[in-house]
Amino acid sequence: MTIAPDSSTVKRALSAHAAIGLLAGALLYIVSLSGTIAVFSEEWQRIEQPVAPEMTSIDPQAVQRGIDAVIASEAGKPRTTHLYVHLPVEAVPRTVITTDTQAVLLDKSGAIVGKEEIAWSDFVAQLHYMLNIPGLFGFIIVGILGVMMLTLSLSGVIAHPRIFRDAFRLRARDKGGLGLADWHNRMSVWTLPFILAISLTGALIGTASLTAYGIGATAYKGDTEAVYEPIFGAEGKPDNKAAPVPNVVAALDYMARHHPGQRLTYVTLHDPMTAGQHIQIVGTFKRRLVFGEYYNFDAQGRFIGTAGISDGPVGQQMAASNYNLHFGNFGGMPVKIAYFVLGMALTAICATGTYIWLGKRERRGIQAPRIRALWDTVVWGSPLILTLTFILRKTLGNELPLVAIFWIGFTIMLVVAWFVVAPGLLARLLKRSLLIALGLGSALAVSGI
Amino acid sequence: MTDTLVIAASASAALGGAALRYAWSLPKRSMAWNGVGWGLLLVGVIAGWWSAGAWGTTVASLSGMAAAMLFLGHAAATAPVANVKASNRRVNMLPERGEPLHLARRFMTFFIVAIVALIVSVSLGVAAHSIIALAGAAPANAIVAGFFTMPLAWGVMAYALLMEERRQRQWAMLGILAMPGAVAITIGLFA
Repeated sequence: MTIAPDSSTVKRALSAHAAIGLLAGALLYIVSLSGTIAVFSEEWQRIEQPVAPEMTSIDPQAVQRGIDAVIASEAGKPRTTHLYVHLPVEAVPRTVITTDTQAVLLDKSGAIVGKEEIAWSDFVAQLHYMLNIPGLFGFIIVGILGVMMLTLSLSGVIAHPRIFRDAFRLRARDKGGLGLADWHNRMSVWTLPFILAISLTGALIGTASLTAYGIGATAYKGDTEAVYEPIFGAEGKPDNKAAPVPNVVAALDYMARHHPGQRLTYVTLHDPMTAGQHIQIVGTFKRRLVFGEYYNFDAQGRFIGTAGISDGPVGQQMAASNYNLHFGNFGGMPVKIAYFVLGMALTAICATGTYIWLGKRERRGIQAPRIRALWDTVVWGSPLILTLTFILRKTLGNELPLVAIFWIGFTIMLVVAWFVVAPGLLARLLKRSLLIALGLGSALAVSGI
Repeated sequence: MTDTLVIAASASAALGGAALRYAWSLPKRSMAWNGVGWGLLLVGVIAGWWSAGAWGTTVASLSGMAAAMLFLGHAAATAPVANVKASNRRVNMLPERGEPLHLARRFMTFFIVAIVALIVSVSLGVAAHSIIALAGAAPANAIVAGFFTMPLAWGVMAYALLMEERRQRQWAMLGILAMPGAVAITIGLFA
C-alpha cells in the first residue's frame, strides 16, 4: 500500500503551488523578510536610540509622577483616549509613556527626559503586519498572505511525494537548477512546523476582523467590538465627566503584594481623566505562551478582577497565545535567534520558489529576462532599500518619512529593472550594493550614534 | 523539574531528527529506524506538553527544527558535486509561445479562489461559531473556533479548488461548503 499521490495529483498540486507562489510571491517575500528583521524589534529599538535612561525596575511613585507629567504636558490639547506606560523589562529596560499623540522616555525618578525615537523599528513592524497600508485593510492583506502560505505548504507537500524521504538529500552544489530546488524543498520540509505555526497565527491575526464582522452581525446585533469582549475583556463604560489622575500607585502596590515576582510589562489607562477611566496592568508568566494577564483596577487603584486570558476558557488562552507564538518572544534570546534563522529560511524559500519556476522555463527555451530582472529586484532590492532606510534614519534623524522612502525607492528600482533588462548585471549590482549597505548599517548600529 | 523535562523533551526532538537523518541515509527503507525517529519526535512533543504545556511543546519543536537545520547544513557541506538534470516540468502558470492567454478563465479562477472562497470561509467561521455556541461552549471558545476556522477553511479550500480542473465542480464545492454558513447567517440575522 502506498499513500503517495498519483502523478496527476502531483502535477495539479505543483500547478496550484506555482500559481499561488507566483501571484503572492513578492508580497510574501517582503512580509517574511520584514518579519524576520522584526523578531529583534526590541533590540532594534535600543540600537536606534542608544542614549536613553535604562533601569531594571521603576517605583510605583515614579510611574505616577511620569503619568502626572505627561498628562500635564497635554493640557489644553484633545484628551488622549488611552495612556500606556511601558515598564522596564529585560529586552527593553526603559520606561516609556505613550499617548494618542506622543511617546516619551522617563528616568528612574519618573521625570520626562525626552521623546522616544524608534521610527525605523515601528516602520519595519508596520511593514510586516500591514505592509504600511493604513487601517484594517493592511492587516487583512497580510492575513490573506498567511492563508496563501498555508495553501502553499499544503500544495508543496502534495506536489513532492518524496519530500520527507528526501528530507536530508541536499545536492547543494548541483548547477542547473537542482541545487536550488533542493534548497527550496529541504528548507521547506524542515521548517514546516514553524511555517504552519506562523502562517496560521498570522492569518488569524489578520483575518479575525472579517470573521468578527460576520459573528458580530449574526450573534452580537452588529456590534463587532462585542465579539472581542469574551476574549480580552470589555472596555469600561464611557463617562466623559472630568476626573482626577487615577491612582496607579495603589494598583501597582496591589500587584506587588498579591503577585510578587510577576513581571509587569504595561500599565494602561483607559479614558484617562474622565469619570469612566480605569487602570489595566499586564502581568506576564514564565513558561507560558499567553502574552500575559490583564489585571483591572478602578481609578482609585482598587482591584476589580482579571480578564481571564491566562486561566479562562481554552479559547481565550489560545487567542492570547497567538501573538507570542507568531512573534517569537516567549523564550528570550535563544528563541529569538531560532525564529530569526527559521525566518531567514522562510524568506529564502519565498525567493527560491520563483527562481525555480524561471529556471524551468529557461530550460525549456523560454527566456523571461524582464521577469527575472524584476524578481532580482524584489529579492535583492527590497533588503537593500530597507537597509538604506536604516542608514538614513541613523544619519538624518527620526522624522524622516521612512514609509515613503521605502515604497518610492522600491518602485523606482522595479521600474528601472523593467526598462533596463539586464538581469545578471542587475543582480550583481544589487548584491554588491546590499553588502556595502549592510556593512555601513552594521557600523552605524554598533557605533552607538 | 520543569527545566529538566523541557531539556529532555528538546533533546528527544533533536535526537528524533538525528535518527531520521540516519534512517533516510540507509540504502533500503528501515521501518525500525523510521519508527525510532518519528517516535522520538513524538516523545519530544508530548514531554514538552507534559512539562510546560503549549510553551514546552513549542520549545521542543524549535529544538527539533534547529537540530534538523544543522543536519541539513552538514548535508549541504558534504554533498558531492554532481550534475543531475533538473526538472523542467511545466506548471501552466503562463502561456508559452503561441498559446492563447485564456485571460477570462484565469480571471475566473482568481475570482473563485480569492473572492468567493474568502466569503465562503468567513461564512464557515460564522457557522463554526454558531454550532459551538449552540452546543453550550463558553463564548470565547465559540468565537476563537470561528476565528481559527476561517483561515484554515480558506487555505484548504483554495488548495482543493485549484486542484479541481472542472469549473462546475468548483462551483458545486463552494455551494456545498456555503450551506452551513448560509444557514447560520440567516438564523443569526433573523432570529
